Amino acid sequence: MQEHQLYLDEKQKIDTLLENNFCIVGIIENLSGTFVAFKQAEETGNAPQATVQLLIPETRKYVTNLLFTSRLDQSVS
Amino acid sequence: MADLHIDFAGIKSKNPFWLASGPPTNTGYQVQRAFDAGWGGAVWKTLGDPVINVTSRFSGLNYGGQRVAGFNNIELITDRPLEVNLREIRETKRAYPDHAIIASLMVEPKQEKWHEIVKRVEDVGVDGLELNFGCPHGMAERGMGSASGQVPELVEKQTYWTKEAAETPVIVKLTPNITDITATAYAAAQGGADAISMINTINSLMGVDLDTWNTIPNVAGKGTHGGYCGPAVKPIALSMVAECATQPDIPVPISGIGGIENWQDAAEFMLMGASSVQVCTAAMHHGFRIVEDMIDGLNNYLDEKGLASVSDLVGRSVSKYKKWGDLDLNHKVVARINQDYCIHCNKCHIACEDAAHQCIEFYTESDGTRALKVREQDCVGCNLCSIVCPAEGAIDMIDQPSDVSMTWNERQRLISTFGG
Repeated sequence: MQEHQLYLDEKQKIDTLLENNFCIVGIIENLSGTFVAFKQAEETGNAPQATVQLLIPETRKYVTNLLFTSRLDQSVS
Repeated sequence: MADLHIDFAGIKSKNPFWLASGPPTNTGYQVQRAFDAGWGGAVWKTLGDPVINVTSRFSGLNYGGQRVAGFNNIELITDRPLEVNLREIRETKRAYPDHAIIASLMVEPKQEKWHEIVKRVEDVGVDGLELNFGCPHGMAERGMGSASGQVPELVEKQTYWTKEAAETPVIVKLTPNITDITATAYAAAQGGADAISMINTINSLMGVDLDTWNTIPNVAGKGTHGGYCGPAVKPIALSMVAECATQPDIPVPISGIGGIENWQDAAEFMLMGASSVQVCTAAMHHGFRIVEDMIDGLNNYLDEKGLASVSDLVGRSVSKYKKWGDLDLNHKVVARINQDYCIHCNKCHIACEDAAHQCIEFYTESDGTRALKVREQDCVGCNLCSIVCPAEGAIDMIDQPSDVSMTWNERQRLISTFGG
């Protein structure tokens, strides 16, 4: 499979979680790639959690770009 | 016409082009011929206790159609008595008072040795001194050259001893045969150097003859490692100049050396922080008159750029030289094939399939002809296809604008706040 398609698949997982009110609460990088931990934003106590393993460089960049842009927006506002 | 005069650490020269210490600056006859041709200065072949040289001494690396893409020598410093060299330096300086003569020096790492040679050389009117801490062959076996230049403490100490006796500017010529040239550049600055120059030659063995099994070059069937220079070493030299030029704790002028053979090479070194350049191999290959084109070319370039003086060019690219971690991860370029120029050799396809990211594929035009196209979403912009392409203009690398810049260092700082 072409890498771009793999990127789109991984990106879709991230976008779906974010659209469902999950937010990123942790990022760990190791030899196996990037593991992004999500938690549903508005829940308390046993809030649903999810972890996505990112293998593709473009997706690992994408997820940090989301956070980076968000930080930039916050610093501007 | 731009002003090409330079003042390099107090050494004045009518242009930034100096002959580097080496075979072309062995005698007064040669240096005077060089000055007649237009060179602004010359670094006299290294003076010290006269050696005995061997034959043969040089070898050239021919690559593809280019002769002397690289050059290797096992010649040592001057084999002539100091008095002979000093007499010719004095004569040359009297005949060419407006040209810079810098004496390259190499003696044992002893204070009295440096004091003695500095005084004797300055007595004949040199404009400056260059300490040869770089030659990797022969003299290094005797504790001099790169053997001294690889030890920061020895560089600092010998520079200091020289400065104790010197009245003219002291340039420290550095060896590239070291992991981090900024360590010895810093040591030179700490020792009081007025300037540094780089690079001396790179340790090398040019080859082995497949018929005789002798080394290239060989001396009666035996060989040794030598110093490598010529166009092949330019990227190494340029990187080392950049490393030093970007260090605020190395606040001395840099004379750039290494593979410079035309005005474009010289301009690149100047942009990266060198305020003079030295040339050896190109003069050995093509003769002293190459300096005519270097002077004209640099002059025209400065005019084209609207710069009144060559000094205005120096260092203009230094701020663009960064650590890898400070490069923008979001910057993207992709390859695009221009069908009007493509000769259908398929080299780009093979290179991309075998050595890159498998994103150049065949497709069939409406008229049935097969052509190649880049699948841009999978292209990582590595440049390999455009590098191997033999048809000028057939592959363009196209910038893909991004809204936000994010470096690796910025990314890692961000991740660290998320527990990564």
